[in-house]
Amino acid sequence: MLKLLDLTPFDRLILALANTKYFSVDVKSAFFHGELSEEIFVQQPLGYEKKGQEDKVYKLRKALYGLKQAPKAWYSKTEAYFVQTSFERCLCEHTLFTKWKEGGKILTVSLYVDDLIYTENDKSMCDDFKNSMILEFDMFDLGKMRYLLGVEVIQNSDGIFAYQKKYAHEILASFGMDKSNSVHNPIVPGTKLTKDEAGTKFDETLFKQVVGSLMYLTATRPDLMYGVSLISRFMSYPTQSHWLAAKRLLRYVKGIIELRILYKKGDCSDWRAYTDSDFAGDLDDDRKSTSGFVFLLSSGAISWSSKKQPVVTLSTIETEYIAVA
Amino acid sequence: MKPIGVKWVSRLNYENGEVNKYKARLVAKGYAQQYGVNYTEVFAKVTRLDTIRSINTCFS
Repeated sequence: MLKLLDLTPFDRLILALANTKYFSVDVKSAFFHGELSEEIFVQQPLGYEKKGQEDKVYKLRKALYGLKQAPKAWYSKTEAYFVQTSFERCLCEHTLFTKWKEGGKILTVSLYVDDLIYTENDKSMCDDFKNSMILEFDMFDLGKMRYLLGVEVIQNSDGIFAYQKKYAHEILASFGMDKSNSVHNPIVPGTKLTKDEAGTKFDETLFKQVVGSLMYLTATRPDLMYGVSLISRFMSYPTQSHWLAAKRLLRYVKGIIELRILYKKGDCSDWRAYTDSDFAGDLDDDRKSTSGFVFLLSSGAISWSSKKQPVVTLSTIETEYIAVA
Repeated sequence: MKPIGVKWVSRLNYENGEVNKYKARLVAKGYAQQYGVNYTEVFAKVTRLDTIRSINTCFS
């Protein structure tokens, strides 16, 4: 999963610790920058037809939104730009670019389609980068990073907090759970949920909406992971018992809304990983085991998962072995 | 090869409850494209959240 671990450039990143801030920029109409390698003709846009030549078509040189290859064209364009300006692309994460200069100066850029976050330990390098990007692409400088993909971010002297408080409030309100009482655990310990295709079917659409909303919340909440992945198995035929479990998760969210993960400043030496699994936890349906893991980097959880294993195992050892793999 | 249709998508941008901008964008009807005819590769990589969280720790 975290192949970054055995990577030398990444080790160097870790060593090059500095008191840095994160900045973000947004590229305006990003997909329009992508250059096409295929031949595509489009009709003339409504209201802008050439008089007397209405039957002619345009040949595209750059991408339009809606084209199948638009995201790829944009990625190729940015990648070419980074390579040309002597950035080094991370071997395992092709959207992570770093640039080194003498004296341990470093600039790191992470690309999420049209959202870029970058960090540096040298102001001039950062300004150069920003100015050259503004020249190359039409960019909107968002300054110090406050949001990333809808996740709220706070940067202060202790480190970085990532949380989705606003989003959590929104989903509680939209499912009418904003005035409910909170509970202390996401799921009643020992709960076994099973398929119940003879039972009365619950509103499938509503159930799927709750699962989807909670799934996005797991981007910053490892404690929801088990519960959400458990209820998501019953999306095709939810019944009252599954709905009760979903509602309990929402009530748990209500209680933890103020909590957030802290990524502590400056200490990257402490890696920890935990993993565990049950044995044939899904007793009634298919006897598959569920396993989970969490990776901590200096006390902040950075990677987590909870999944039902894809195969049926015959022993607890085999289960744990699959969990670790 | 058939030309791909285009259409205008318009959207209102609000500021303090009032209309701030009238936005319009020309989009292509990508569903009319055929594999091998006018597109081949479409995969674009995005960053894993795990990576973002790792660099958040390492550089903060």
